[in-house]
Amino acid sequence: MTGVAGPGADGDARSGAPAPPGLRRRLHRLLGDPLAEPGRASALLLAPIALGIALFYVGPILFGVWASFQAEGTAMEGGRFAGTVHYESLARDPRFRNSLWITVVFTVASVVVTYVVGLLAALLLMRSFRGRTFVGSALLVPWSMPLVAVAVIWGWLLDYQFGAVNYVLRASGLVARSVGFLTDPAIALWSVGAAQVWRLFPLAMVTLLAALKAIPHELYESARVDGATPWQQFRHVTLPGIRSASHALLLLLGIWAFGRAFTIIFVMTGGGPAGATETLVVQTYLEAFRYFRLERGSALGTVVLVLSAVFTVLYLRARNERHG
Amino acid sequence: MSGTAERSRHARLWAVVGATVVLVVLFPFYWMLLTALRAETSVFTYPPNLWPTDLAPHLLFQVFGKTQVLRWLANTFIVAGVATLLVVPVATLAAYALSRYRNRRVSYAALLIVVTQMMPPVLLLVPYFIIFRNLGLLDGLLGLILANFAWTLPVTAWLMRAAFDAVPSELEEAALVDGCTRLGAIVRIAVPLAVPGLVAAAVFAFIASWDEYFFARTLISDNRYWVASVGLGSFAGDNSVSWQQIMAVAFFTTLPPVVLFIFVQRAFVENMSAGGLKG
Amino acid sequence: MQHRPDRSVSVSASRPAADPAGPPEPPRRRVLRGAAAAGAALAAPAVRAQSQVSGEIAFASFEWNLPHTGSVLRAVSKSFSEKFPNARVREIPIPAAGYADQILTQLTAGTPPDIFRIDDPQLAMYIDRNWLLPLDDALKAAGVDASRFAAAGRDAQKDGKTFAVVYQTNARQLIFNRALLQAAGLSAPPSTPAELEQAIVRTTQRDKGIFGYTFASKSGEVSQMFNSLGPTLVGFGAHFTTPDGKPNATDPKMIEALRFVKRIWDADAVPRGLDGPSATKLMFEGKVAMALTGSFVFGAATPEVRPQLGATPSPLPGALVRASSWYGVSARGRNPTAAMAWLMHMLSAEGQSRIVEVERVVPALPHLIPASVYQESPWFRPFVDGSSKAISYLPPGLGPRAFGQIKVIGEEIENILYRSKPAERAMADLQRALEASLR
Repeated sequence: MTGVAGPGADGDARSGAPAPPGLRRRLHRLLGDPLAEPGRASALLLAPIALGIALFYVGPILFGVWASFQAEGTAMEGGRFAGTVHYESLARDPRFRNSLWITVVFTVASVVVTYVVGLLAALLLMRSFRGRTFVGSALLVPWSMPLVAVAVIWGWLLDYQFGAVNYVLRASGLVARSVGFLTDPAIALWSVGAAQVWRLFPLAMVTLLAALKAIPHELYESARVDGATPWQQFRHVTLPGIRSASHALLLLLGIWAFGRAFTIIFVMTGGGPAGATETLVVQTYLEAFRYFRLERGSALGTVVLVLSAVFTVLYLRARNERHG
Repeated sequence: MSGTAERSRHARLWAVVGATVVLVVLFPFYWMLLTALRAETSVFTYPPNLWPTDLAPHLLFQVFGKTQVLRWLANTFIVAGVATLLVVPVATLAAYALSRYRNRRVSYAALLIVVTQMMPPVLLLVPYFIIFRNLGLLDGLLGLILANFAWTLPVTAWLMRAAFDAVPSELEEAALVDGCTRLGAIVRIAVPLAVPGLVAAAVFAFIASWDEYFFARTLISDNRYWVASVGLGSFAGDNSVSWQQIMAVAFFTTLPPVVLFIFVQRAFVENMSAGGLKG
Repeated sequence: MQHRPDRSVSVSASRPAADPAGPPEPPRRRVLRGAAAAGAALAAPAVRAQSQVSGEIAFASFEWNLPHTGSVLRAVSKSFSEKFPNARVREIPIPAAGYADQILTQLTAGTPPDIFRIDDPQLAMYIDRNWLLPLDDALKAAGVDASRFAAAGRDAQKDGKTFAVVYQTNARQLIFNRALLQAAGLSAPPSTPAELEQAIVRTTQRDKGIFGYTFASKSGEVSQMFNSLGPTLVGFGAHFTTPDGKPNATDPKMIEALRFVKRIWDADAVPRGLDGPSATKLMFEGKVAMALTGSFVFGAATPEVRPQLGATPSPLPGALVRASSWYGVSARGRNPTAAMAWLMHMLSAEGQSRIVEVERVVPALPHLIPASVYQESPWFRPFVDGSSKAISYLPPGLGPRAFGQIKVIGEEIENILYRSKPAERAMADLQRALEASLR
């Protein structure tokens, strides 16, 4: 393999190896290389992040799980064990079932649409046309817009009374009455989902574009030679070529949509109208900070965590089985 | 090979498609800019004016006097900057290990990272709130910095791993043979070669901290320490602030990430294309 | 680039002379009309002698950002700092959206501001949880006769002690926009419920962004929705609870009231999904024909709109309703002495008259309203008289539990408005929910 000898980039690497000033060599011989042995090296290198995750994630999660088993109002003062009372209360609660359903719908829809839009955008950027770089940069803008700005702007554009979208729809005669984008419970989730997709599709676009670029031209060539139509090429060359990147992307998007998506929804609708956009994450926040039922909120959060983990395991297993 | 004429016809078609897509996708951004540049519009102006008329660009900068946006931006720079500075070394070392070693420890670490993405933010928020309160960290930016450090650490490590994956490990092996320490190899060989991807991941972390609203809203009660996202969110329901001001603040809040991002997007795309998200 | 904001605050660490347990209440002094002003003038040296009034007062309210109230608060703070040069007010402008939740978070976290605004739903709960300091000693030292407080002042009293002072109280009348009524061919405001409904529908012009009526309906902002919709519901003679706090949601009058609201909602005559400040701002800008709201509209309306506005007694038969706001001193704030001094300063003749002159609301001590205000605004008198007779818009008899219960009630109202749930079914469900949670 290249890289050992030779000029150019390797030259830097070569000059990087210490031509021994005596002190360093001597220290080196004395102390040895602490990172020489792979097991130890990986342990040392991973120690900081493991510590960080333990402190900031594992610890709080354990607290949350613990709190979910304490009686209401006691977690902040030491806690009083109350068994699975909160979990039972959640299971009986129609509001929980409602938010579970809403979350599933939101997750599936937003992930699928984000993926499709991202794929279409990536396919577009694979074509050569004038201004392609500009289009590529422009399509990244939604991803860099702060979530709150996205929520505020979209919220205003979709306002029932004063929003520009309703104005255009009515002025152009497409609808007779304003559409309750954020006030009609049947539509609100899609409106919020649209904002979410708008914000996230650049990630899908960039990922899939990278994967598309990695597909060797020869595969397309040989398919064409074999007489494949563009659609067949897409099905048999493109799609398999981006499969692994797609899986990783879909998993990430799914986990994020299920357990993390909060800001856009909360700022746009607050979980309303009448609970129509109250996903599990929103409901968890409301339990903890609006109704001050910390323990019940922790139970909700634990449920989300467990469901996400289960889903991930199933997904990975299914994928590995398919790959044999 | 298709003929040149056909190809240029296709090129024109795609250019048109591209332009249309950009127009549709960027409309909200356009709306924000338009409103920010317009004279004081009442919240309730109806019908709304969609065309770039009645512009008053000087109003854009008046918002600095009328709101606290400069202070918010400064706070946000501090929080995002310090959090990113803390994340980079930790994530870089971890990413190197994830990329170069294959053992149980590494598998556990990778699994741990994936699991952190599944945690709903609220589960983190309440314990953070309690701990920070007891440590007196609620009065100031440090608590938020730590929260953002935690928030961005796993994903940054994941992205940096992809950057290291793109750099062949033979170079470091060669250096080791020559007597370099592993750490030396990391610092002098691997990192410089992986810099584009590392920088892209760091920018990602910066932008994620810049954006962050959820922790900021709850962990900071003193409005002297508000970050931009909280300041912007505070306008919701505040009818004394005109939409021009809201959108102007939104614009200034958006500008740094957009600039950083466009600046880095080439590296980002290149980084990901080098076998990033496989498997 | 700014670095960390400086924390150059010298906070006076002196604890108040008043201890939350409180000494026994000595007999009250009767103060003659007008002498209260003299008393307030005498109060300054008395308060100063009490303890050192200095340092920073952390003052939280969402009204700092509202143009009129904000200017009043600042003016009062300015003259307060002139009187007590070592004391300073630090504005903490918490946004109106989720204000109550935010304050509650700070109170439970133990990091509350020194003074903060309190609305009807939260008042009883804050008192019940001992989060507010009793103000009686300070009131006595300032020569304020607590018996002269407007009716809302009594809501802040418990066991003979006063825990907060009223900032403003607003009896709800029908505020109407003459120009919009005339544009719809109506020469006079409605005087019966049926006329009201007709007028609302006729004055609505959606293409111009004009509404016949307004109230807050933003999902999740229950306090605001209650505040603005309450007077209409009570106007039909309906309450969600009986006077002793038993659930009463299935009262036919309540069903009738909710059906009325739903009808005008369906007719697109009210804005949908706006929060409290935005819903009233529509009126300030002349985009709403009528609303059952308070006199503050006259203070806050734009100069073009103000002459078009008029006030008349509510066409609904039910009791007169008031909405009020209070300011209290945190029991665990850092500077309660100076905070109390600020409140007493607000209760002075100067403070009270400034509140009324700018905002046209009824202040804590109505007898301090200057005569010139009545001359300028003859329509103001009924508001003042009404404020002593009006009742709170809260469901009666709930005390500290009101805050929790209106959330439950608000959810069903949202179901009626947004999900078109029939009013009887919603109220039947609400009755069950209230019975369950009030058990």
